[in-house]
Amino acid sequence: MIFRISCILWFLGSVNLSLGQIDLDYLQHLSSQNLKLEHGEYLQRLKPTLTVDSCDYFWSKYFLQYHLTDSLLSKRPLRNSVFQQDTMALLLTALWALEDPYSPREALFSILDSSRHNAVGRLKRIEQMGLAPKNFPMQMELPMGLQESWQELRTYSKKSPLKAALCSAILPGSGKWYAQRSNTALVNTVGMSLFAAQTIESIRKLGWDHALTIGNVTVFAIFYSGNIVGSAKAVKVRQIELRNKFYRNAAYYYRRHYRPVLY
Amino acid sequence: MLRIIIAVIIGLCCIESRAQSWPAFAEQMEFQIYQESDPKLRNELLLAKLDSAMSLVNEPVDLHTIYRDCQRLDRKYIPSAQLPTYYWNMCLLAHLNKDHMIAERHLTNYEKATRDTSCQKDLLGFLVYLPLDSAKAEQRLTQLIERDSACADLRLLVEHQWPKKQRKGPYLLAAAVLPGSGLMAEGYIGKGTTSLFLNVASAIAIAAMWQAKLTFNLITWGLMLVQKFYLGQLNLTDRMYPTRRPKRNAREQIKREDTMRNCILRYPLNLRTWP
Repeated sequence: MIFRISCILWFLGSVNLSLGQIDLDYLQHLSSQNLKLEHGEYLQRLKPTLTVDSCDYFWSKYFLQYHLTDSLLSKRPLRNSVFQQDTMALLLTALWALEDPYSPREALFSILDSSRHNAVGRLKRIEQMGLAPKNFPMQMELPMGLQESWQELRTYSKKSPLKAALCSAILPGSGKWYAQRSNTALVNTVGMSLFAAQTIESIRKLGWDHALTIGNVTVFAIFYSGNIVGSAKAVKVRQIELRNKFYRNAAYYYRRHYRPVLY
Repeated sequence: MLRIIIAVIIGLCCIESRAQSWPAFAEQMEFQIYQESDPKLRNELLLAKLDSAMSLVNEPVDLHTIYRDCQRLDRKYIPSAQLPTYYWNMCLLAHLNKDHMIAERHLTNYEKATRDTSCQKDLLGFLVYLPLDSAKAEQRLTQLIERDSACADLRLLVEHQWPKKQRKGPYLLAAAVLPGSGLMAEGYIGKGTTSLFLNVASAIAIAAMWQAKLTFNLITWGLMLVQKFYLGQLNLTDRMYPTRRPKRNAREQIKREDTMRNCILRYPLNLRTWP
Protein backbone atom coordinates (compact mmCIF):
# COMPACT_ATOMS: atom_id res chain seq x y z
CA MET A 1 0.00 0.00 0.00
CA ILE A 2 2.74 2.42 1.03
CA PHE A 3 4.69 1.47 -2.07
CA ARG A 4 1.71 2.28 -4.31
CA ILE A 5 1.06 5.60 -2.65
CA SER A 6 4.76 6.41 -3.04
CA CYS A 7 4.49 5.52 -6.71
CA ILE A 8 1.55 7.86 -7.12
CA LEU A 9 3.36 10.67 -5.36
CA TRP A 10 6.34 10.07 -7.61
CA PHE A 11 4.02 10.25 -10.63
CA LEU A 12 2.62 13.50 -9.34
CA GLY A 13 6.10 14.89 -9.04
CA SER A 14 6.93 13.76 -12.52
CA VAL A 15 3.86 15.58 -13.84
CA ASN A 16 5.11 18.84 -12.46
CA LEU A 17 8.65 18.18 -13.68
CA SER A 18 7.50 17.33 -17.20
CA LEU A 19 5.26 20.37 -17.40
CA GLY A 20 7.80 22.27 -19.42
CA GLN A 21 8.39 19.49 -21.96
CA ILE A 22 6.01 18.09 -24.51
CA ASP A 23 5.50 14.37 -24.22
CA LEU A 24 4.81 13.08 -27.70
CA ASP A 25 3.96 9.58 -26.51
CA TYR A 26 1.39 11.04 -24.18
CA LEU A 27 0.00 13.15 -27.01
CA GLN A 28 -0.21 10.02 -29.13
CA HIS A 29 -2.09 8.31 -26.30
CA LEU A 30 -4.57 11.20 -26.03
CA SER A 31 -5.01 11.28 -29.79
CA SER A 32 -5.45 7.53 -30.24
CA GLN A 33 -8.00 7.35 -27.40
CA ASN A 34 -9.88 10.33 -28.87
CA LEU A 35 -9.71 12.14 -25.53
CA LYS A 36 -10.67 15.49 -26.95
CA LEU A 37 -11.15 17.24 -23.62
CA GLU A 38 -7.88 16.04 -22.08
CA HIS A 39 -6.01 16.55 -25.34
CA GLY A 40 -7.11 20.18 -25.53
CA GLU A 41 -6.33 20.73 -21.88
CA TYR A 42 -2.83 19.29 -22.25
CA LEU A 43 -2.11 21.64 -25.15
CA GLN A 44 -3.50 24.52 -23.08
CA ARG A 45 -1.18 23.54 -20.24
CA LEU A 46 1.81 23.50 -22.57
CA LYS A 47 1.01 26.84 -24.14
CA PRO A 48 3.37 29.02 -21.99
CA THR A 49 6.28 26.67 -22.55
CA LEU A 50 6.08 26.41 -26.34
CA THR A 51 7.07 28.75 -29.12
CA VAL A 52 4.23 30.27 -31.11
CA ASP A 53 5.02 28.07 -34.10
CA SER A 54 5.10 24.86 -32.06
CA CYS A 55 1.96 25.81 -30.21
CA ASP A 56 0.11 26.56 -33.45
CA TYR A 57 1.43 23.32 -34.92
CA PHE A 58 0.03 21.16 -32.12
CA TRP A 59 -3.23 23.06 -32.07
CA SER A 60 -3.53 22.67 -35.86
CA LYS A 61 -3.11 18.93 -35.49
CA TYR A 62 -5.69 18.91 -32.72
CA PHE A 63 -8.20 20.77 -34.92
CA LEU A 64 -7.33 18.47 -37.79
CA GLN A 65 -8.08 15.38 -35.73
CA TYR A 66 -11.44 16.65 -34.54
CA HIS A 67 -12.32 18.20 -37.91
CA LEU A 68 -12.71 21.76 -36.61
CA THR A 69 -12.26 23.58 -39.91
CA ASP A 70 -12.57 27.20 -38.83
CA SER A 71 -10.25 26.77 -35.86
CA LEU A 72 -7.72 24.96 -38.06
CA LEU A 73 -7.71 27.71 -40.64
CA SER A 74 -7.43 30.37 -37.94
CA LYS A 75 -4.06 28.89 -36.94
CA ARG A 76 -2.77 29.69 -40.46
CA PRO A 77 -1.08 26.31 -41.01
CA LEU A 78 0.16 27.47 -44.44
CA ARG A 79 2.56 29.86 -42.69
CA ASN A 80 3.56 27.36 -40.04
CA SER A 81 6.89 25.89 -41.08
CA VAL A 82 6.60 22.98 -38.61
CA PHE A 83 3.17 21.99 -39.89
CA GLN A 84 4.36 22.29 -43.48
CA GLN A 85 7.12 19.77 -42.76
CA ASP A 86 4.75 17.23 -41.23
CA THR A 87 3.82 15.12 -44.24
CA MET A 88 1.37 12.97 -42.32
CA ALA A 89 -0.60 15.99 -41.11
CA LEU A 90 -0.67 17.40 -44.63
CA LEU A 91 -1.78 14.05 -46.02
CA LEU A 92 -4.56 13.81 -43.45
CA THR A 93 -5.69 17.34 -44.33
CA ALA A 94 -5.89 16.38 -48.00
CA LEU A 95 -7.68 13.10 -47.27
CA TRP A 96 -10.22 14.87 -45.08
CA ALA A 97 -10.89 17.39 -47.86
CA LEU A 98 -11.34 14.59 -50.40
CA GLU A 99 -13.50 12.38 -48.21
CA ASP A 100 -15.88 14.95 -46.86
CA PRO A 101 -17.97 16.59 -49.59
CA TYR A 102 -19.13 19.26 -47.13
CA SER A 103 -15.64 20.31 -46.05
CA PRO A 104 -14.23 23.58 -47.45
CA ARG A 105 -12.04 21.75 -49.98
CA GLU A 106 -10.50 24.82 -51.52
CA ALA A 107 -9.44 26.26 -48.17
CA LEU A 108 -8.07 22.93 -46.95
CA PHE A 109 -6.10 22.33 -50.13
CA SER A 110 -4.70 25.85 -49.91
CA ILE A 111 -2.87 24.67 -46.76
CA LEU A 112 -0.90 22.23 -48.92
CA ASP A 113 0.23 24.82 -51.44
CA SER A 114 3.84 25.08 -50.36
CA SER A 115 4.37 21.36 -49.73
CA ARG A 116 6.62 19.58 -52.20
CA HIS A 117 6.26 16.11 -50.85
CA ASN A 118 5.41 13.51 -53.49
CA ALA A 119 2.46 11.99 -51.65
CA VAL A 120 0.92 15.40 -50.97
CA GLY A 121 1.59 16.34 -54.59
CA ARG A 122 -0.35 13.28 -55.77
CA LEU A 123 -3.37 14.25 -53.71
CA LYS A 124 -3.16 17.84 -54.92
CA ARG A 125 -3.18 16.52 -58.48
CA ILE A 126 -6.22 14.35 -57.68
CA GLU A 127 -8.02 17.50 -56.51
CA GLN A 128 -7.04 19.31 -59.71
CA MET A 129 -8.22 16.36 -61.81
CA GLY A 130 -11.59 16.48 -60.11
CA LEU A 131 -11.92 20.23 -60.56
CA ALA A 132 -10.92 20.35 -64.23
CA PRO A 133 -11.01 16.85 -65.72
CA LYS A 134 -10.75 18.19 -69.26
CA ASN A 135 -7.20 19.41 -68.59
CA PHE A 136 -5.99 15.88 -68.00
CA PRO A 137 -5.77 13.01 -70.51
CA MET A 138 -8.20 10.10 -70.36
CA GLN A 139 -5.43 7.53 -69.99
CA MET A 140 -3.40 8.37 -66.92
CA GLU A 141 -1.14 6.41 -64.66
CA LEU A 142 -3.50 5.90 -61.79
CA PRO A 143 -3.91 3.04 -59.33
CA MET A 144 -6.30 0.31 -60.48
CA GLY A 145 -9.01 1.28 -58.02
CA LEU A 146 -9.12 4.80 -59.41
CA GLN A 147 -8.98 4.15 -63.15
CA GLU A 148 -12.66 3.34 -63.54
CA SER A 149 -14.01 6.33 -61.61
CA TRP A 150 -11.53 8.64 -63.35
CA GLN A 151 -12.58 7.49 -66.83
CA GLU A 152 -16.23 7.83 -65.85
CA LEU A 153 -15.62 11.39 -64.62
CA ARG A 154 -13.44 12.29 -67.60
CA THR A 155 -16.01 10.97 -70.10
CA TYR A 156 -18.87 12.75 -68.40
CA SER A 157 -16.92 16.03 -68.16
CA LYS A 158 -17.37 16.40 -71.94
CA LYS A 159 -21.08 16.88 -71.40
CA SER A 160 -22.31 20.42 -71.23
CA PRO A 161 -25.37 21.68 -69.34
CA LEU A 162 -26.05 24.05 -72.24
CA LYS A 163 -26.22 21.15 -74.70
CA ALA A 164 -28.61 19.32 -72.37
CA ALA A 165 -30.83 22.41 -72.24
CA LEU A 166 -30.77 22.72 -76.04
CA CYS A 167 -31.63 19.05 -76.49
CA SER A 168 -34.58 19.45 -74.12
CA ALA A 169 -35.74 22.56 -75.99
CA ILE A 170 -35.76 20.66 -79.30
CA LEU A 171 -37.20 17.39 -78.03
CA PRO A 172 -38.43 17.37 -74.41
CA GLY A 173 -36.84 14.51 -72.49
CA SER A 174 -33.80 14.22 -74.76
CA GLY A 175 -31.81 16.49 -72.43
CA LYS A 176 -32.32 14.03 -69.61
CA TRP A 177 -31.29 11.25 -71.97
CA TYR A 178 -28.13 13.22 -72.73
CA ALA A 179 -27.56 13.60 -68.95
CA GLN A 180 -27.80 9.79 -68.69
CA ARG A 181 -31.05 9.84 -66.76
CA SER A 182 -32.91 7.43 -69.04
CA ASN A 183 -35.90 6.69 -66.78
CA THR A 184 -36.66 10.36 -66.22
CA ALA A 185 -36.13 10.98 -69.92
CA LEU A 186 -38.83 8.45 -70.85
CA VAL A 187 -41.31 9.90 -68.34
CA ASN A 188 -40.58 13.42 -69.58
CA THR A 189 -41.02 12.52 -73.25
CA VAL A 190 -44.34 10.74 -72.68
CA GLY A 191 -45.61 13.42 -70.29
CA MET A 192 -44.68 16.32 -72.55
CA SER A 193 -46.18 14.57 -75.59
CA LEU A 194 -49.47 14.21 -73.74
CA PHE A 195 -49.40 17.87 -72.67
CA ALA A 196 -48.67 18.92 -76.25
CA ALA A 197 -51.46 16.71 -77.59
CA GLN A 198 -54.04 18.05 -75.13
CA THR A 199 -53.00 21.64 -75.88
CA ILE A 200 -53.29 21.16 -79.65
CA GLU A 201 -56.60 19.37 -79.21
CA SER A 202 -58.10 22.15 -77.13
CA ILE A 203 -56.81 24.83 -79.54
CA ARG A 204 -58.43 23.02 -82.49
CA LYS A 205 -61.72 22.20 -80.82
CA LEU A 206 -62.26 25.13 -78.46
CA GLY A 207 -60.17 27.94 -79.91
CA TRP A 208 -57.40 30.11 -78.42
CA ASP A 209 -59.66 32.19 -76.19
CA HIS A 210 -61.23 29.29 -74.28
CA ALA A 211 -60.27 29.02 -70.58
CA LEU A 212 -59.23 25.37 -70.93
CA THR A 213 -56.92 26.24 -73.84
CA ILE A 214 -55.31 29.06 -71.86
CA GLY A 215 -54.88 26.68 -68.91
CA ASN A 216 -53.39 23.98 -71.14
CA VAL A 217 -50.95 26.38 -72.79
CA THR A 218 -49.86 27.68 -69.39
CA VAL A 219 -49.33 24.18 -68.01
CA PHE A 220 -47.44 23.16 -71.13
CA ALA A 221 -45.20 26.25 -70.96
CA ILE A 222 -44.41 25.66 -67.28
CA PHE A 223 -43.52 21.99 -67.78
CA TYR A 224 -41.60 22.69 -71.00
CA SER A 225 -39.37 25.37 -69.43
CA GLY A 226 -39.00 23.31 -66.25
CA ASN A 227 -37.81 20.41 -68.35
CA ILE A 228 -35.13 22.56 -70.01
CA VAL A 229 -33.82 23.89 -66.69
CA GLY A 230 -34.02 20.42 -65.12
CA SER A 231 -31.92 18.88 -67.89
CA ALA A 232 -29.14 21.44 -67.49
CA LYS A 233 -29.22 20.93 -63.73
CA ALA A 234 -29.12 17.14 -64.11
CA VAL A 235 -25.79 17.37 -65.98
CA LYS A 236 -24.29 19.61 -63.29
CA VAL A 237 -25.52 17.39 -60.46
CA ARG A 238 -24.18 14.26 -62.15
CA GLN A 239 -20.79 15.91 -62.63
CA ILE A 240 -20.60 16.75 -58.93
CA GLU A 241 -21.68 13.21 -58.03
CA LEU A 242 -18.96 11.69 -60.20
CA ARG A 243 -16.34 14.09 -58.86
CA ASN A 244 -17.21 13.20 -55.28
CA LYS A 245 -17.11 9.51 -56.16
CA PHE A 246 -13.65 9.95 -57.69
CA TYR A 247 -12.42 11.86 -54.61
CA ARG A 248 -13.89 9.26 -52.27
CA ASN A 249 -12.22 6.41 -54.13
CA ALA A 250 -8.93 8.31 -54.19
CA ALA A 251 -9.12 9.02 -50.45
CA TYR A 252 -9.95 5.39 -49.76
CA TYR A 253 -7.02 4.18 -51.86
CA TYR A 254 -4.43 6.62 -50.51
CA ARG A 255 -5.51 6.15 -46.91
CA ARG A 256 -4.86 2.43 -47.26
CA HIS A 257 -1.67 3.04 -49.20
CA TYR A 258 0.03 5.60 -46.90
CA ARG A 259 -1.74 4.70 -43.63
CA PRO A 260 -1.20 8.21 -42.24
CA VAL A 261 -1.30 8.79 -38.48
CA LEU A 262 -1.16 12.11 -36.68
CA TYR A 263 1.33 11.14 -33.98
CA MET B 1 -9.58 2.35 -0.51
CA LEU B 2 -6.29 2.84 -2.32
CA ARG B 3 -8.12 4.40 -5.23
CA ILE B 4 -9.87 6.88 -3.00
CA ILE B 5 -6.55 7.84 -1.42
CA ILE B 6 -5.03 8.32 -4.86
CA ALA B 7 -7.98 10.39 -6.03
CA VAL B 8 -7.92 12.55 -2.95
CA ILE B 9 -4.15 13.11 -3.19
CA ILE B 10 -4.32 14.00 -6.84
CA GLY B 11 -7.32 16.21 -6.24
CA LEU B 12 -5.63 18.03 -3.38
CA CYS B 13 -2.42 18.49 -5.34
CA CYS B 14 -4.33 19.87 -8.28
CA ILE B 15 -6.36 22.23 -6.18
CA GLU B 16 -3.23 23.34 -4.37
CA SER B 17 -1.11 23.97 -7.45
CA ARG B 18 -3.68 26.04 -9.32
CA ALA B 19 -7.38 26.58 -9.23
CA GLN B 20 -8.50 23.86 -11.60
CA SER B 21 -11.54 23.06 -13.57
CA TRP B 22 -12.71 19.58 -14.45
CA PRO B 23 -10.84 19.43 -17.80
CA ALA B 24 -7.56 20.24 -16.06
CA PHE B 25 -8.22 17.65 -13.39
CA ALA B 26 -9.23 15.06 -15.99
CA GLU B 27 -6.04 15.74 -17.91
CA GLN B 28 -3.92 15.27 -14.78
CA MET B 29 -5.68 12.01 -14.08
CA GLU B 30 -5.25 10.91 -17.65
CA PHE B 31 -1.52 11.59 -17.38
CA GLN B 32 -1.37 9.29 -14.36
CA ILE B 33 -3.29 6.64 -16.25
CA TYR B 34 -0.96 6.97 -19.22
CA GLN B 35 2.15 6.69 -17.05
CA GLU B 36 0.92 3.68 -15.12
CA SER B 37 2.33 0.45 -16.54
CA ASP B 38 0.45 -1.94 -14.24
CA PRO B 39 -2.92 -2.57 -15.96
CA LYS B 40 -4.63 -3.22 -12.65
CA LEU B 41 -3.51 0.05 -11.17
CA ARG B 42 -4.32 1.81 -14.44
CA ASN B 43 -7.83 0.46 -14.15
CA GLU B 44 -8.07 1.72 -10.60
CA LEU B 45 -6.93 5.16 -11.67
CA LEU B 46 -9.53 5.14 -14.40
CA LEU B 47 -12.14 4.22 -11.79
CA ALA B 48 -10.93 7.10 -9.63
CA LYS B 49 -11.25 9.44 -12.61
CA LEU B 50 -14.78 8.19 -13.17
CA ASP B 51 -15.67 8.60 -9.52
CA SER B 52 -14.45 12.19 -9.65
CA ALA B 53 -16.40 12.87 -12.83
CA MET B 54 -19.58 11.45 -11.33
CA SER B 55 -19.26 13.38 -8.09
CA LEU B 56 -19.00 16.78 -9.76
CA VAL B 57 -22.05 18.84 -8.99
CA ASN B 58 -21.24 22.42 -9.92
CA GLU B 59 -19.64 21.54 -13.22
CA PRO B 60 -21.35 18.33 -14.43
CA VAL B 61 -19.40 16.33 -16.95
CA ASP B 62 -21.27 15.32 -20.06
CA LEU B 63 -22.51 11.75 -20.07
CA HIS B 64 -20.75 10.88 -23.30
CA THR B 65 -17.36 11.61 -21.71
CA ILE B 66 -18.16 9.42 -18.70
CA TYR B 67 -19.47 6.67 -20.99
CA ARG B 68 -16.30 6.82 -23.10
CA ASP B 69 -14.09 6.47 -20.01
CA CYS B 70 -16.29 3.69 -18.67
CA GLN B 71 -15.81 1.80 -21.92
CA ARG B 72 -12.05 2.00 -21.44
CA LEU B 73 -12.27 0.02 -18.21
CA ASP B 74 -10.91 -3.49 -18.39
CA ARG B 75 -13.51 -5.70 -16.77
CA LYS B 76 -11.05 -8.42 -15.79
CA TYR B 77 -9.24 -6.05 -13.42
CA ILE B 78 -12.39 -4.96 -11.63
CA PRO B 79 -12.82 -6.86 -8.34
CA SER B 80 -15.87 -9.11 -8.39
CA ALA B 81 -17.45 -7.14 -5.55
CA GLN B 82 -17.40 -4.03 -7.75
CA LEU B 83 -18.68 -5.69 -10.91
CA PRO B 84 -22.37 -5.01 -10.19
CA THR B 85 -21.57 -1.29 -9.90
CA TYR B 86 -19.68 -1.45 -13.18
CA TYR B 87 -22.57 -3.22 -14.93
CA TRP B 88 -25.12 -0.81 -13.47
CA ASN B 89 -23.18 2.26 -14.55
CA MET B 90 -22.45 0.86 -17.99
CA CYS B 91 -26.10 -0.08 -18.45
CA LEU B 92 -27.34 3.34 -17.39
CA LEU B 93 -24.73 5.22 -19.42
CA ALA B 94 -25.29 3.10 -22.50
CA HIS B 95 -29.03 3.66 -22.19
CA LEU B 96 -28.60 7.42 -21.84
CA ASN B 97 -26.24 7.43 -24.82
CA LYS B 98 -28.86 5.47 -26.79
CA ASP B 99 -26.56 2.46 -27.12
CA HIS B 100 -29.47 0.11 -26.49
CA MET B 101 -27.86 -3.24 -27.26
CA ILE B 102 -24.89 -2.53 -24.97
CA ALA B 103 -27.32 -1.40 -22.26
CA GLU B 104 -29.23 -4.68 -22.56
CA ARG B 105 -26.02 -6.73 -22.36
CA HIS B 106 -24.90 -4.97 -19.20
CA LEU B 107 -28.34 -5.23 -17.65
CA THR B 108 -28.26 -8.99 -18.18
CA ASN B 109 -24.77 -9.13 -16.62
CA TYR B 110 -25.97 -7.00 -13.73
CA GLU B 111 -28.89 -9.31 -13.08
CA LYS B 112 -26.59 -12.32 -13.15
CA ALA B 113 -24.09 -10.70 -10.81
CA THR B 114 -26.54 -9.47 -8.20
CA ARG B 115 -29.89 -10.32 -6.68
CA ASP B 116 -31.11 -6.78 -6.83
CA THR B 117 -34.86 -6.69 -6.46
CA SER B 118 -35.17 -2.95 -6.14
CA CYS B 119 -37.67 -0.86 -8.02
CA GLN B 120 -34.76 1.08 -9.54
CA LYS B 121 -33.54 -2.07 -11.25
CA ASP B 122 -36.99 -2.83 -12.62
CA LEU B 123 -37.37 0.74 -13.80
CA LEU B 124 -33.98 0.65 -15.55
CA GLY B 125 -34.86 -2.74 -17.04
CA PHE B 126 -38.13 -1.32 -18.32
CA LEU B 127 -36.38 1.68 -19.88
CA VAL B 128 -33.66 -0.49 -21.45
CA TYR B 129 -36.15 -2.92 -22.99
CA LEU B 130 -38.63 -0.24 -24.03
CA PRO B 131 -37.01 0.48 -27.41
CA LEU B 132 -35.94 -3.16 -27.92
CA ASP B 133 -38.63 -5.61 -26.90
CA SER B 134 -42.22 -4.73 -26.01
CA ALA B 135 -42.88 -8.07 -24.25
CA LYS B 136 -39.86 -7.75 -21.96
CA ALA B 137 -40.64 -4.10 -21.29
CA GLU B 138 -44.21 -5.10 -20.38
CA GLN B 139 -42.90 -7.84 -18.10
CA ARG B 140 -40.64 -5.38 -16.25
CA LEU B 141 -43.46 -2.93 -15.99
CA THR B 142 -45.77 -5.56 -14.51
CA GLN B 143 -43.14 -6.33 -11.86
CA LEU B 144 -42.84 -2.65 -11.11
CA ILE B 145 -46.60 -2.12 -10.89
CA GLU B 146 -46.93 -5.08 -8.51
CA ARG B 147 -44.77 -3.16 -6.07
CA ASP B 148 -45.96 0.32 -6.81
CA SER B 149 -49.25 0.84 -8.57
CA ALA B 150 -48.36 4.50 -9.18
CA CYS B 151 -46.08 3.29 -11.96
CA ALA B 152 -49.05 2.01 -13.96
CA ASP B 153 -49.03 5.21 -15.96
CA LEU B 154 -45.76 4.09 -17.51
CA ARG B 155 -47.87 1.88 -19.76
CA LEU B 156 -48.41 5.03 -21.79
CA LEU B 157 -44.76 4.83 -22.82
CA VAL B 158 -45.18 1.26 -24.04
CA GLU B 159 -48.29 2.21 -25.99
CA HIS B 160 -46.44 5.12 -27.53
CA GLN B 161 -43.30 3.12 -28.37
CA TRP B 162 -45.15 0.03 -29.58
CA PRO B 163 -48.50 1.23 -30.91
CA LYS B 164 -51.03 -1.51 -31.41
CA LYS B 165 -51.68 -2.47 -35.00
CA GLN B 166 -54.15 0.09 -36.22
CA ARG B 167 -57.23 -0.81 -38.14
CA LYS B 168 -57.00 1.64 -40.95
CA GLY B 169 -59.02 -0.55 -43.32
CA PRO B 170 -62.50 0.94 -42.72
CA TYR B 171 -61.18 4.50 -43.08
CA LEU B 172 -59.36 3.68 -46.31
CA LEU B 173 -62.43 1.86 -47.67
CA ALA B 174 -64.61 4.87 -46.87
CA ALA B 175 -62.07 7.16 -48.54
CA ALA B 176 -62.03 4.94 -51.64
CA VAL B 177 -65.85 4.89 -51.95
CA LEU B 178 -66.49 8.54 -51.07
CA PRO B 179 -63.37 10.73 -51.30
CA GLY B 180 -62.77 12.76 -48.14
CA SER B 181 -65.02 10.63 -45.93
CA GLY B 182 -62.03 8.74 -44.49
CA LEU B 183 -60.44 11.99 -43.38
CA MET B 184 -63.74 13.21 -41.95
CA ALA B 185 -64.13 9.98 -40.00
CA GLU B 186 -60.63 10.46 -38.61
CA GLY B 187 -61.68 13.84 -37.27
CA TYR B 188 -60.26 16.09 -39.98
CA ILE B 189 -63.54 17.65 -41.07
CA GLY B 190 -61.99 20.61 -42.92
CA LYS B 191 -59.51 18.51 -44.85
CA GLY B 192 -62.19 15.90 -45.66
CA THR B 193 -64.65 18.51 -46.95
CA THR B 194 -61.99 20.18 -49.11
CA SER B 195 -60.96 16.82 -50.52
CA LEU B 196 -64.58 15.93 -51.31
CA PHE B 197 -65.13 19.26 -53.04
CA LEU B 198 -61.94 18.95 -55.13
CA ASN B 199 -62.78 15.39 -56.17
CA VAL B 200 -66.33 16.33 -57.16
CA ALA B 201 -65.02 19.32 -59.15
CA SER B 202 -62.47 17.04 -60.87
CA ALA B 203 -65.17 14.50 -61.72
CA ILE B 204 -67.38 17.26 -63.21
CA ALA B 205 -64.46 18.62 -65.26
CA ILE B 206 -63.58 15.14 -66.56
CA ALA B 207 -67.25 14.47 -67.44
CA ALA B 208 -67.38 17.79 -69.29
CA MET B 209 -64.29 16.83 -71.29
CA TRP B 210 -65.88 13.45 -72.09
CA GLN B 211 -68.99 15.18 -73.42
CA ALA B 212 -66.87 17.60 -75.47
CA LYS B 213 -64.90 14.61 -76.84
CA LEU B 214 -61.58 16.09 -75.75
CA THR B 215 -59.81 12.71 -75.59
CA PHE B 216 -56.25 13.87 -74.82
CA ASN B 217 -57.46 16.43 -72.31
CA LEU B 218 -59.54 13.73 -70.69
CA ILE B 219 -56.56 11.39 -70.39
CA THR B 220 -54.04 13.98 -69.22
CA TRP B 221 -56.24 15.97 -66.84
CA GLY B 222 -57.90 12.76 -65.70
CA LEU B 223 -54.56 11.20 -64.80
CA MET B 224 -53.34 14.38 -63.11
CA LEU B 225 -56.48 15.02 -61.10
CA VAL B 226 -56.98 11.41 -60.10
CA GLN B 227 -53.37 11.16 -58.98
CA LYS B 228 -53.39 14.47 -57.17
CA PHE B 229 -56.78 14.50 -55.48
CA TYR B 230 -58.17 10.95 -55.37
CA LEU B 231 -54.96 9.02 -54.67
CA GLY B 232 -53.72 11.98 -52.64
CA GLN B 233 -56.63 11.84 -50.22
CA LEU B 234 -56.25 8.05 -49.88
CA ASN B 235 -52.60 8.56 -49.02
CA LEU B 236 -53.47 11.35 -46.61
CA THR B 237 -56.09 9.19 -44.89
CA ASP B 238 -53.45 6.52 -44.40
CA ARG B 239 -50.80 8.98 -43.22
CA MET B 240 -52.95 11.04 -40.89
CA TYR B 241 -54.35 8.08 -38.99
CA PRO B 242 -51.64 7.70 -36.34
CA THR B 243 -51.39 11.45 -35.79
CA ARG B 244 -55.10 12.15 -35.57
CA ARG B 245 -56.37 14.35 -32.81
CA PRO B 246 -53.12 16.34 -32.51
CA LYS B 247 -54.34 18.22 -29.43
CA ARG B 248 -54.90 14.94 -27.64
CA ASN B 249 -51.45 13.77 -28.76
CA ALA B 250 -49.82 16.88 -27.27
CA ARG B 251 -51.69 16.27 -24.02
CA GLU B 252 -50.55 12.65 -24.03
CA GLN B 253 -46.97 13.74 -24.61
CA ILE B 254 -47.12 16.01 -21.56
CA LYS B 255 -48.71 13.24 -19.54
CA ARG B 256 -45.98 10.78 -20.61
CA GLU B 257 -43.26 13.23 -19.59
CA ASP B 258 -44.95 13.86 -16.23
CA THR B 259 -45.28 10.14 -15.59
CA MET B 260 -41.63 9.58 -16.39
CA ARG B 261 -40.55 12.49 -14.20
CA ASN B 262 -42.62 11.24 -11.27
CA CYS B 263 -41.19 7.74 -11.55
CA ILE B 264 -37.61 8.99 -11.78
CA LEU B 265 -38.19 11.23 -8.75
CA ARG B 266 -39.65 8.31 -6.87
CA TYR B 267 -36.93 5.87 -7.91
CA PRO B 268 -33.86 7.91 -8.92
CA LEU B 269 -31.53 6.21 -11.37
CA ASN B 270 -28.09 7.41 -10.30
CA LEU B 271 -24.64 6.47 -11.39
CA ARG B 272 -23.03 4.58 -8.55
CA THR B 273 -19.59 5.33 -7.18
CA TRP B 274 -17.32 2.35 -6.73
CA PRO B 275 -17.20 1.03 -3.19
